[in-house]
Amino acid sequence: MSSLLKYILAICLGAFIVSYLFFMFINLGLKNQKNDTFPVIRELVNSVENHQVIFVGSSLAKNNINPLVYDSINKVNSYNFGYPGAKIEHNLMIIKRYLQSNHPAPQKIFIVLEPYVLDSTTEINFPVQYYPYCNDSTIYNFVSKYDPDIKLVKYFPFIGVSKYNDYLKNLGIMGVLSPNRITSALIKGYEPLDAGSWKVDAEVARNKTKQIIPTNIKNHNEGLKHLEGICKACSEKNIQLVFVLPPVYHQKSTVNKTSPIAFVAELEPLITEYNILLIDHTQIELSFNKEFYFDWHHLNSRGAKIYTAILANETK
Amino acid sequence: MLFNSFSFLVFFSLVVVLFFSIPFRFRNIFLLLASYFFYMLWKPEYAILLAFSTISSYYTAILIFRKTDAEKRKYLVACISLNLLILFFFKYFNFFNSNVRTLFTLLHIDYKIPDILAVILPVGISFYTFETISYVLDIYYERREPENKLSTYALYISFFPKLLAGPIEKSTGLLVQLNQETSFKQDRIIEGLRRMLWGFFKKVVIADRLSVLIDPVYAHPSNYSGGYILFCCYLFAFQIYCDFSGYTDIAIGASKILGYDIVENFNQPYISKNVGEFWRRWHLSLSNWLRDYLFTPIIFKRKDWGNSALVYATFITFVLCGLWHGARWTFVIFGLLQGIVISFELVSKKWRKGWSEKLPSWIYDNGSWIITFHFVVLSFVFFRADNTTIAFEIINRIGHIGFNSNYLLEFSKFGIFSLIILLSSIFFLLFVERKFTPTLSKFNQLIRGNYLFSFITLTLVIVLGYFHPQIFIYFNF
Repeated sequence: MSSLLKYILAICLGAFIVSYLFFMFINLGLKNQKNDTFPVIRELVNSVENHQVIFVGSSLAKNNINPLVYDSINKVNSYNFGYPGAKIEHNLMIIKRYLQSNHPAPQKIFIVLEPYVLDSTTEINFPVQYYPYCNDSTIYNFVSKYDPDIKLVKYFPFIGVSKYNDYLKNLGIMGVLSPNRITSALIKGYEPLDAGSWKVDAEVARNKTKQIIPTNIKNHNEGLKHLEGICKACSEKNIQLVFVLPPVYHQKSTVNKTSPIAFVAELEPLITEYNILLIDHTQIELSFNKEFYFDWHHLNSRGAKIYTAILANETK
Repeated sequence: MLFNSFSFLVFFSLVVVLFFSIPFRFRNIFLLLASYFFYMLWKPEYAILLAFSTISSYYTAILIFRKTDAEKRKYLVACISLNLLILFFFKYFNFFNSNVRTLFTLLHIDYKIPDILAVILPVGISFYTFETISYVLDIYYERREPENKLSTYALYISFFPKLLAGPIEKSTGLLVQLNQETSFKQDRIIEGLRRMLWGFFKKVVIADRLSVLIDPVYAHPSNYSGGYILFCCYLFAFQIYCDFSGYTDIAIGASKILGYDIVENFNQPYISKNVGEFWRRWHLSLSNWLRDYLFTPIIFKRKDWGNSALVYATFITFVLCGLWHGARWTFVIFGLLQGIVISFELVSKKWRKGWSEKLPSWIYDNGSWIITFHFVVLSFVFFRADNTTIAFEIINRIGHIGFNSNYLLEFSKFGIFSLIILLSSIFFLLFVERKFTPTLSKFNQLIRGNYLFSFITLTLVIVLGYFHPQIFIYFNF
């Protein structure tokens, strides 16, 4: 064999084997992790626990709804599958994957909605978090639409390690080396936010609120199709679907401007056809009280506790 | 197409296979086409500028060679002026115009010349402009004869491994090699691959990881304490070195695989014991260019000035060196600082020699090294900062270092894993370049060592690399 070929083969093979092993090592750790979104993905893929109620949505679900509070009021077992930055197709994937392995199906599914969730998009938030589960066909099919690299990762795992940033590598290493020392920041998928902080002043909050509930709704045709997919899936399994429009911080003077009438009008045909319960919490008193917010968009842990209690009592 | 991208690996592999598959007489044309293709991926229209600069300097050089002494000077001046004018228009016009406008406003004079909107700096323009100028000057000073083939000359200017960020090649180097037949040599290819891998390691494992930490500090220094900023200033010295020397390593390695040797650009700059020595180890191709085509001619012209000529030439050279990097006052200050310190070193030579004899050598040497390194770190603040306000704020904050309870919180932003990777990678870098020289040529004698080194480097690149392709810093110049 020529020296060049020998050189290339030796170093490539050696490096690929080591990086492949490292990738597996990190994946093992990430699957063990109790922080970030990893426990939620693990719950979705591995758990067959029977939840009577599940919550899906973006960070507005993840940070605003505390399943423990809901469970204590309604005497059920619930779980929060909210993901930061999740769009409606993401929610569809979660519900499909959940119904695939969790039997019997839940009695209720809450989808936390805002116009942003129905926007069509070409990317998903942080696709690499799903790499440890790229052998799961539902997750793989969903992620590969947005992140073609997962196809490479599935067949050439050593490429996966180059996609992980230091934060994930660190989580992975900690997940293997000291899994017992990691304490979860999540409570049944819910991530509490510090009660004491407020990140943005009221003026910015007011402007942001205008953006998040615009008077001119974008073209949501694609998003509405996915939402209909969720409605169908739930209807087939006799699951009560609930659309929740969560509270968003705004001052009383902006109430009229931020009214989500146009958005509700978009949802109306689905609500009627599939007999869906709509809960509009955008104008409740909590929306005007800054002390319950972590920032203009997310409730802090106190706010989440109160809000979940309101939601639980309304849906007893 | 960035060197640290998958598309470059595919492009380069194809170029190498085709290059050695076709007959020698077509190779230069093939490489020329590949180089223009590579360049046009950035912005196709700027290839016209590159072609114009190439053709104008090629034919002017022929005219200079054929004309009498009196006439050839006119052609030389015309050619250099034209190339510098293009450089000025694309790189310096807005800077110059805005400063003139400020001056006129201060003098309450109406000034109506607008900035040129949306001019994007043609990547590599500073590098290839200097190469065309050096070629014409070499012909003028009769250091060489004009190149016979336009295609070979065009390849010398546009040779893709060094087109975007150097090294700045002299016509007496690469151009001569382009006329010689290269053959497929396995040892050369192994050497080239090893050098490229080392460049990738410096870029993706160290420089890009550091960039994530340093960029926010230079964007908003007021959010950080003096201690943290100082730490980032030290780290920037390694970021800029790994970024630029990493690019150079990839360029040299790629050229070596194709059978050509381009000039070295770095020689362990941070072991320098004075700033003059630093510039003999840092960006060598630019330092040599400035020495040969600017500093030395000024000295000759002002030889009757004695020591003052040295100081004068040093100042002019380093202010222009600073400006060469970009159209910002921070670069002017960077150049001025170098000029001041090197001038001081020149005039204080005897005085320093006296001290070196009085003090034990380890104190003098280490003291000189520490002072030089800290000066370089400090001057890099002006090199990196986007404007003088940020640069002075950084220096001000460093000047007010005190104990801060937020230190631990700030340093925790690094993350323990990132910090371990960074520090161990920097130690690995220093160890390898100290023991095996920056060119890694000592590995040629170590077959097993060569395999082991390449295996370790490739593994580190895959496992620890930061693969969110970031542009090389020197592309901006």
